[in-house]
Amino acid sequence: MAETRQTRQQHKKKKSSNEDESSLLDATTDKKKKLKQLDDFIEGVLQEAGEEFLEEFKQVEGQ
Amino acid sequence: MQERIIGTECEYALFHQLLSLPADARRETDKLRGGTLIENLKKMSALLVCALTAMDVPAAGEFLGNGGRFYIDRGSHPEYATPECRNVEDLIAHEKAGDTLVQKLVEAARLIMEQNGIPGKLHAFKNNLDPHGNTYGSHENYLITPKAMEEIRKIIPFLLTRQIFTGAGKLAGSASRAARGQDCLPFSVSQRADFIDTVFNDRATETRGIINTRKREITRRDENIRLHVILGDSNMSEYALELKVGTTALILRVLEEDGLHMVPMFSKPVDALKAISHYPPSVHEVDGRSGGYTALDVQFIYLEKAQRFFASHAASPAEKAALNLWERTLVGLKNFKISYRTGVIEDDPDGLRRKLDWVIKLWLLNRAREKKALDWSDPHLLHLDFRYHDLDPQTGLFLRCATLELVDRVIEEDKVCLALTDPPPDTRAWMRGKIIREASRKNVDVIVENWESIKIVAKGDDSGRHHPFERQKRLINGLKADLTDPFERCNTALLAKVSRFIERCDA
Repeated sequence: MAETRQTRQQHKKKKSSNEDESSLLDATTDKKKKLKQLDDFIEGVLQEAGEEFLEEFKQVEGQ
Repeated sequence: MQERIIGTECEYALFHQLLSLPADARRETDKLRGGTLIENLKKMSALLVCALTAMDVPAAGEFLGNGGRFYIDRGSHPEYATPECRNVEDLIAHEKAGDTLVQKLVEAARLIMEQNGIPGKLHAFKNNLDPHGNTYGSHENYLITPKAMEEIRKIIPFLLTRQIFTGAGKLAGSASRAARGQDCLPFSVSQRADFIDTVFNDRATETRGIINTRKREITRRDENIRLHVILGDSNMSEYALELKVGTTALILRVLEEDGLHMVPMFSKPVDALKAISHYPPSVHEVDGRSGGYTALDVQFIYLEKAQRFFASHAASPAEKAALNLWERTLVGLKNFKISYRTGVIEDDPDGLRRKLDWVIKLWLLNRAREKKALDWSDPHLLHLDFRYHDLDPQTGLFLRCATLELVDRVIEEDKVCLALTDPPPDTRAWMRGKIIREASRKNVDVIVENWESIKIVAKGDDSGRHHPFERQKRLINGLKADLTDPFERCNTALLAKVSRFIERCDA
């Protein structure tokens, strides 16, 4: 009986550990995906003019 | 003062972008534009005012149905001033609502431009400088006691060192890079520090002080005074905004109730302000003490004084939250490791890259540099720096990080949406907003003369007959509502009087 209970506990622990690892993996994958989207966005901005933007973006002194 | 009235004003930069047009069309547009920079900016800002009317935003002149104020300030900068707020959470919601409103106006203005054949695309930026050395401000207002104003010098070291968590960051220009030398990071923590010239000044242009004294209320003796701080950076990060206003409110309370004794006064405060911006671990002389102090040292001293004060004085939940946030952030800054030679963030165990504008920006710039092997002096990197502050969610870098949940939020979007239309419920802004909204589309004109006074007059007779004393007749037949107490939540009797007057005029 004790052995069965122990086996059951081991199964439960293993299953819970697997679930944690799986969630962690999902979170990591999700984060990687978001960072990729960010990098793509940055790439888009960098492909736009650099000097021309800086020349065009002029303001008058405020307060 | 445990409850305090606070508010912020933010000047935005309008950018009429022609980059997206083919080169020959741009040449043509430049010819057609014809006017000077200020003339073009005036035209663009006028489009925003048209958009406000076209969108039917409840307003009485510059004052809005949510109790705030939108107008075109010096240099044709659209400016949004929040309504009076009684707590930091409301303040954050209303400042972010201001950003949202300005972006909505820009989008409406783009449609007007399209309909009128005006080429290019309009953008609004929430920052404090352009690439040509021009600055514009982000100002804070705190209602304080007259006694605190007499001793306000004691918070100067706090104000000039808080940039280590409130700074919006900027890449140094070429001249500044040359001055710093090759082994020093060409990145500053603060956008505004370089434009501050003195500690106190009554001017907000040319010679700027950390504290602006011109707008102090001087008419009412023994009544509270508005402290006007103009050295702050415009914050995209809600976390940084919460810190900026929350910690300043804490220190003001300690000053008012305990005197804030033995604070480290910098021997050369303005020099220290700029040096800390260029190199945060820089060490500075303090009057009457041996050894030098860094900005972080000074912040820990103020934090300790605040903690000691609140150990024996009741703190509101908001004050407790601000104190905790302040402590966590300073500990995070202590643990934060950066190479000032390469600009690389070496360790960030407390995730400041999700919280503080200058750290987020530096992290983004480093990311771009690594991917594209860019030098710090590359103009594309400077372009990225400015795009951080673009309020358009399609093109703005900070807002893209927010969409991707790569930065921390401190307030729910619902609260920001509500702040677009509703004033804070617990200051005189509520009455102002209510009167403006109630009078909207009725047969009355609401004249909001200032933050304290509203006049409601029947609309003029538009039958074509002109009465020689029409104006006087309207003013005599008007109703004046005085909102002199900023803490007054709702004056039921006054509101009833206003409603009856509006109904009579509308009948």
